[in-house]
Amino acid sequence: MKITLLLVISFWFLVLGSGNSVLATGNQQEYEPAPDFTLSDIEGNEVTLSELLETGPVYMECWDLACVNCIDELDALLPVYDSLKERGLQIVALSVDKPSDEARVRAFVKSKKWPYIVLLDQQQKVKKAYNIIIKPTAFLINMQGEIVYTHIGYKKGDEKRIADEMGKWLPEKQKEPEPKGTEPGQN
Amino acid sequence: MPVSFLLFITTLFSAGLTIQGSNRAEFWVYQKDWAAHYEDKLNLIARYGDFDGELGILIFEPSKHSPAVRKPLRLFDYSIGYNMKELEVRLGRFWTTFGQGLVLASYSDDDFRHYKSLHGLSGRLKLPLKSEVTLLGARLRDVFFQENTYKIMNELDTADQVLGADLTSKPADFFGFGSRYVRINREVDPTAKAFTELFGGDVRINVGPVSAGGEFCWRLGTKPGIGGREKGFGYVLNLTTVFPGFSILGQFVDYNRLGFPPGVYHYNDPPTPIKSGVAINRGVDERGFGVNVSGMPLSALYLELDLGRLFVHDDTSAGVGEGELKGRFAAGANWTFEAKFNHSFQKNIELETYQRINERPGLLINYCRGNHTVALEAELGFITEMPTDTGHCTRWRYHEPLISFSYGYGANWLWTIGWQGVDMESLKRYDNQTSWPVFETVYHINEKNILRMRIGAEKGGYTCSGGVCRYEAPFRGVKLQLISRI
Repeated sequence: MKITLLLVISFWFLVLGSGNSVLATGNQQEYEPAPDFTLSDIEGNEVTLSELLETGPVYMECWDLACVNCIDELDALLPVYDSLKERGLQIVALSVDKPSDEARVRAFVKSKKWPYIVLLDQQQKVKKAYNIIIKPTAFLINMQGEIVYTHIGYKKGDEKRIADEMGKWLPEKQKEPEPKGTEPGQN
Repeated sequence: MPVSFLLFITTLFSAGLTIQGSNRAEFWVYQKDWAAHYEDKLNLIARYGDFDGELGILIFEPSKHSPAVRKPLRLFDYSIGYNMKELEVRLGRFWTTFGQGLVLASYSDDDFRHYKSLHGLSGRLKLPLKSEVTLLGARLRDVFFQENTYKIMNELDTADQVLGADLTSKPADFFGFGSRYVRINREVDPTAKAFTELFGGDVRINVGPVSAGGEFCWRLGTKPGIGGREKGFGYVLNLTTVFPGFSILGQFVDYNRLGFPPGVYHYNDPPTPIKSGVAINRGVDERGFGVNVSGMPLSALYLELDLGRLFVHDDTSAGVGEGELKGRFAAGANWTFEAKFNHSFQKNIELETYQRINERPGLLINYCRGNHTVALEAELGFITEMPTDTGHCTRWRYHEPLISFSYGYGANWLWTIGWQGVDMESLKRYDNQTSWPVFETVYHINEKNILRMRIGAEKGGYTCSGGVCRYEAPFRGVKLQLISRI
């Protein structure tokens, strides 16, 4: 009876959560909305998701100091970020460490020299709003504020798949205008 | 039925209603007696404009057959919130921590399965000068899973009334402060007027590469049973210095009679300076320090050194100490190597152990090529232990090896085979067992569903997180876990 109940419940959530981040399919894909939030970064500045999205898509990864795979993923994304930042990619490292670990998080991030936006979700507001239950969990949020890709867990090599997904949602790099040549006969 | 209901609600408010959620289902079977354990934790959030509603259901069916021991648990949580940029109000179940947690700490820790929540009303208002005030009135519930059972820590006093206020401000980029107050009226206190108050404050300063901060807390309580005032005090100091390429962090903690109620982990959660998260006296009465030096001397090389010691406040003969040196090197895009050496000792902490010294070198290698990922982990523990019941004359020396090999294919599959052992028999904390083989497979069904199956043995022992420790019983059997995002 109990096992049946568990299987039924699990089955329904499997059905409900099936597929990718698409809510409904049809002629037009509809993605689940990314809840907006405002949090402090490690310097104490307030950062709002909707304001970040005005610049470009955001890849937000939930991590903490005890999560080895989370740190591995953020390390592995460094070359990806370097190659895509000019196309507007922003990476948010969402720390869900407890408030008592704030000094440790700050020291760790400084020594890692991560170029990411590191936000402190000490009251677990964003973690709850995004229903994060295991780490690392990461979301790619397009400029319309929709979650277009979810990545749960990390193993080496996943960064290539993540980069491919990012590439789909970033505008092509604009070609630099060719320098104008000197008009003939000017010299 | 649930699907139909959700579809109905979605259609009804299709203009602006969104429903999101998550579910974690676990099913265990014990090899010994085929006893079954299962649990399901469901969270749903519905949003409509500035309003949201949260629903949480936990079904917990432990394996023990004896009705006297078996404690099934059903939790049904809800909250309704109103969220604007300057104002947040929430009624129902919520989580909040004041400062670093010396005065009040509540949180939901899924990794550690510790759900310490408040139920009542809270409001947060943003003020000028980067200031924020939080007010709350609530009751605490502390659900703390231990091995395959659970414990509501304050089961007898869930009618306690908690009133709290917290003000934080950052008027300048280099300076911030906070002050806070919590009053707790306990149902079980002997006199009608008995109550406990906690006063706290903190200061943070950032000047160039140096960040410094300190937080303190006073506790004024009533002595249980006999009445009269009982006082406690504690503080935490942090100092971080950042140089090009590396940083140094120093932490110092000192608290005495700060934990409330005494001897039980409850409303506050003093932090620990030890990296492994060990607490020796449940944060009630401790003194200690931690130092962390980390940096990247080369772009592919990360080094980290941690040192820490923690004592019982008035007894330096009881305590723990640990040191760890870790290095990680990335060789191109395909290889990473990690090596570490951990040294730790503990004295007069466990009932049957006078002293234990643990030296543990470890190695982790990762390799990736195309769709194939390989990881190899090895660790060898050298243990020297003096049991309490031998007059400190006996020394046990034994080893605890660990080895695991993982292979991942593509985005969806990961298989791991591992083994842990100990070359000494009759260790009570391991139930006299000496070998723990395990096989695990993780299958990403799709972007939102992960199925994990573990067959074999788990060693168990003490595990700690953020100053809270618990004993995990050894396990032999099968564990299935399905994690879903809705």
